[in-house]
Amino acid sequence: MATGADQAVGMSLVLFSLLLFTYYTVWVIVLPFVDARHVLHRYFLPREYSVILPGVAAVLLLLCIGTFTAVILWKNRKPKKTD
Amino acid sequence: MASRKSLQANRANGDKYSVLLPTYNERENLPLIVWLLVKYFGESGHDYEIIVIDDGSPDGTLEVAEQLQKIYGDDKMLLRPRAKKLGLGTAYIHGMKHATGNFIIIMDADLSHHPKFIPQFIKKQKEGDYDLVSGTRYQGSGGVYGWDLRRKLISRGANFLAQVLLRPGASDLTGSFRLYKKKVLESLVERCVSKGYVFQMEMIVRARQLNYTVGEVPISFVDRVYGESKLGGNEIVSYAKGLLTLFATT
Amino acid sequence: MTKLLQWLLGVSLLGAVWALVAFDLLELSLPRTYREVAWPIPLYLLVSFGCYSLATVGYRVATFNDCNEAASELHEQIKEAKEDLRKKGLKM
Repeated sequence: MATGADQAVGMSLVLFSLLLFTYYTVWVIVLPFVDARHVLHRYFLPREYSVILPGVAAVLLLLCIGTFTAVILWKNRKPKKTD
Repeated sequence: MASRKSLQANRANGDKYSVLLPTYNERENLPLIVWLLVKYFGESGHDYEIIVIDDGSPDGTLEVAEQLQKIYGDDKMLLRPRAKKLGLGTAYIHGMKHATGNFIIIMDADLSHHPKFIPQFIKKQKEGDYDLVSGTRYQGSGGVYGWDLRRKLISRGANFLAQVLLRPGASDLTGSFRLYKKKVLESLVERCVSKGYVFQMEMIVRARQLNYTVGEVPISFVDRVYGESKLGGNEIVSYAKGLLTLFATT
Repeated sequence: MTKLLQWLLGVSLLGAVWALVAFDLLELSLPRTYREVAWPIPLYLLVSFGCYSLATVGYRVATFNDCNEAASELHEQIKEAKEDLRKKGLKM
């Protein structure tokens, strides 16, 4: 058994990703087959955002990873100066 | 040499287990781990020996080991010290040269690996005649004591990434509590070049490459009772580097 | 074949299939809606994989055993071992 807090965090990650997946699936896969005047369309941004938003998120993620790696490597380089 | 070996081969079920304990500043832990090993091997009745490979610890680990040798006898306790701190891979090679068992058990001497699992390792090995049996913290009743949320997230994430990229056929890649057939360990060690966390990962990946069979036993990992283990940015970056190297080369 | 090459092969196969449908290279004259759906599929797969990863890691964190009994058992045994070793004449 894990502790309560860790369980809560883990399970909310699961829940969050399930919701995200469902929403995104409806947006990208289902919506084009639904009539343009249907009420469902009101709950989603225009279609181009289904590409723009994940794209921005991906770029941000890569930037974070890049910065993290750069900072660590830079810190390592400084005190030694061997290579 | 041959006659000694065959004599040992006749004892009990014929198998002998050599436990390799690489140590560095483990004066506090070494007596305890040895005591536990003696206890559990005594209960299970398997033939065994403990090989301590001390890398010139300044805290007097070696003196403690010598005392233990007097207590438990030099057929059970072998000391194979080295002058200074060298890599883990070479420690295994060094220890194996003196090992008389046909199986090698590798574990940490810091009490994070409990000898009570060794009988389970042995049983598992016999079940499927596995070439290596790996302890796993990530499956079944396995787990870790002493990790906070951050540590759990990072290790689960790192493990997931490795599973996706390498598909190694084992759930715990960075664990170092394992049982090997001696010949298998010999052939693996000479192929492995990485250091630290990545060394254990490379061993499992190479094992898959060479078509060795791997069995798994869930273990509970109790993070260092004395001293501390760390997981910072450096560890993460070197893990990622090692992972990508294995990804591109195996 | 290294894992990297396996991945590259898999990705390029998927990419080829995707291009065939999304740009209608075989001139199957698929309905417009199909092509509209097919076009963002690579990104959709990426997002799905991200969700799957997040969910898996989350679930595994939630079910990670804390092993409190193992720790207390070990502490008991440490006490026992220290006593026994002292009796046997070990100087710590």
